[in-house]
Amino acid sequence: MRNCREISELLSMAQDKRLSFFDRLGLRMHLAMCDGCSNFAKRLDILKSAMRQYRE
Amino acid sequence: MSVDEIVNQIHPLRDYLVKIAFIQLRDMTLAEDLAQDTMLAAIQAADRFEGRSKVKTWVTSILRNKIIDAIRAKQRAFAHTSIDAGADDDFVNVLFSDGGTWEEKPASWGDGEFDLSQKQFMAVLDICIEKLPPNQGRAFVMKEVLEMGPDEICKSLEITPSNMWVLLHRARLVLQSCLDTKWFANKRDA
Repeated sequence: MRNCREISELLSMAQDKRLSFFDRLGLRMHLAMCDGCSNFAKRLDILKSAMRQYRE
Repeated sequence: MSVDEIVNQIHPLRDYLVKIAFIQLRDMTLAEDLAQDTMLAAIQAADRFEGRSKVKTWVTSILRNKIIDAIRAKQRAFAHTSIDAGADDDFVNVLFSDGGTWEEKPASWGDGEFDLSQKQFMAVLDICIEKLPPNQGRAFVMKEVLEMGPDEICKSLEITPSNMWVLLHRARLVLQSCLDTKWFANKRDA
């Protein structure tokens, strides 16, 4: 099992490249039961939109 | 869009261009020169601007090439001789316990549509980006502002892909934390 720190690294990496099937599965399982990481994931998406706004 | 209109849109971008160049080069004189060169090049080429992208996007792409050239030119003097992805570890270590769980779980920034176009929010984001530790700032701005690909980033910073992923991840953790403290926490309390 991956811990939150490792999951947050994967989530960040997923912003920039497609993860392996295994990693995506691991993410989904972890996110289903961890609201800290779920919030982190949503915040990454908000940050991404914010950066789009920033450069436009 | 007429050439005049394009030129008028280029002028207000100066501060933005200087800031982005400074994050990459940490040299204000050089950053100002690059911004100037970029604006000049854009104005000279304004009649060739095809309008397929926004003026800001187009001007930023000119700046990107100038930054890549400048980094290459001062390759030896530049700090990346020893970019250490782990150098800013302290902050990240505070966020997680030894077992790798969150010390403090990230709070929700809300599920609704959040209005990112707010001027105040963009100003806070700007401050948070400028406050990033230098190497994280370089990698993150290359990725998210200059829209460079992973290969290009690794080459410019002379780092391995795994170091780049570490820098980008750290940058996002630091930025999230900064935005949370300076913006979202106030919204939660309000």
